[in-house]
Amino acid sequence: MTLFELNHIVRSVLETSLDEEYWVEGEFADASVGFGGHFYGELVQKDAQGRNIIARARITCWARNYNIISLRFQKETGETLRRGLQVKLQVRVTFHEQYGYALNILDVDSSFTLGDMARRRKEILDQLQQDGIINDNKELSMPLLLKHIAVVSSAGAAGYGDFCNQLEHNDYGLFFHHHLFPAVMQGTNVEESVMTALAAIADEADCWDCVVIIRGGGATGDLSDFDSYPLAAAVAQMPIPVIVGIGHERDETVLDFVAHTRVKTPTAAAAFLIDNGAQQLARIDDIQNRIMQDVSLLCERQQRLIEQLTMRLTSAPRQRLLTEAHHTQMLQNRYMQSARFLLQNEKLRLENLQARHLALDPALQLKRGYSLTYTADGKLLRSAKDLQPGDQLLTRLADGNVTSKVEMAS
Amino acid sequence: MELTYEAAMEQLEKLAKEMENGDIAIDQLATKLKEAQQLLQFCKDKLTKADEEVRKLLAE
Repeated sequence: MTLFELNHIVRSVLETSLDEEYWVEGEFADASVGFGGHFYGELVQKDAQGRNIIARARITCWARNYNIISLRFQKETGETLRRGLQVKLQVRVTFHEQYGYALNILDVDSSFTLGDMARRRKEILDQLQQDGIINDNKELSMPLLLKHIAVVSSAGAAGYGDFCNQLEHNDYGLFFHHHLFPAVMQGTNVEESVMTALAAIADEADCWDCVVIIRGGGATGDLSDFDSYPLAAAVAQMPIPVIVGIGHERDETVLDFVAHTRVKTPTAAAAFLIDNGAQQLARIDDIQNRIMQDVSLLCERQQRLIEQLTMRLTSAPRQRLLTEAHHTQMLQNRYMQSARFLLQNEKLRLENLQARHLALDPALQLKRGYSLTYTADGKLLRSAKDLQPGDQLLTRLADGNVTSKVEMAS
Repeated sequence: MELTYEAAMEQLEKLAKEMENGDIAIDQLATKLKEAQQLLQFCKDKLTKADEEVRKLLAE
């Protein structure tokens, strides 16, 4: 019997005794797309400790089918069918005389892989929680000034170029000093490589305001490489805030949970930094405006005070002059009035006096029948006692004088 | 001790508050205003210009 004949028997037995298809769980130990777009790889099962492989099978997926299911798988999980991935596959068992035993993939269960990834993430997060470090980085306060940026990325990555470009050509004239700490951002070396970069930054932490871990967009799987406990712990324990933007719209990694700030893409990371700077500039403008306003208010108030003082200083003397003038006028009026009054009074008095004087005029008295008698020596006779018989008297009457001689005085 | 951006911003806020409350004597106004302008410029420069040491680094 030839080997071909034997293999042909095996093939026939398998084809007749096995079901059309099976759902099988395993891990891709190898996965690649080969000539003609067909998918080739190896599915393995490890022991409970995950150390030793206890089962192994070659796997294939024809290009036409692979294109359909890999696209859908990527859309649903954000992952590619790659090495290290836990998968649940719908397969048909094949045996080819020339190539031997293989499982041909008919379909792949996205929810199984998602569940497995979520379970791994949860285990890591639980462990971080248990170790009490899960919020360490989040609890750091983000500096107001984000200027010195330590970047962990790979130099060739498109996302890194976008990031730098955006920072350097921002609309606000902000200056950023960014420096690349190169790391592998894809594949199994991610953990070690990123941790080395982080350690280098931590060594000179006082030179940097924050760390930015970015990876170019595109949906090129491998995101679960970031789901690593040591890496997450390193991020959590960075002494300065970490911003992650590892370019994935749908899915998240444990780094998103431990980093201070998570953004979706490198571009978003740059936008975050620029926004922060723009906010600070706006704040500075605001303070400047407030201060200028206060100063002009203070100056205005002072100006008003000076005006008021000036007014008071000039108005007081003027008022005083007015008052004085008024006072003088008043006095003048009063003097005039009193003078007039005095004159009037005097005039009355004079008239009165004149009247009284007239009444006393001796001529008038003489006319009334009174007479004036003088002694010989010319004195007005006022008393009989002054007379002696024989004294000569002169009596004045209204119309003439009479001379007489005293005969008797009593 | 070199002035930091955060400390400068804090001082600026304090200055602005003092002025708003009218706590500043007119004789001090010019001094305070000058101080404020220096701080404002310092903060703006921090955001928009390379530090001395960075310039040196970049030149190397």
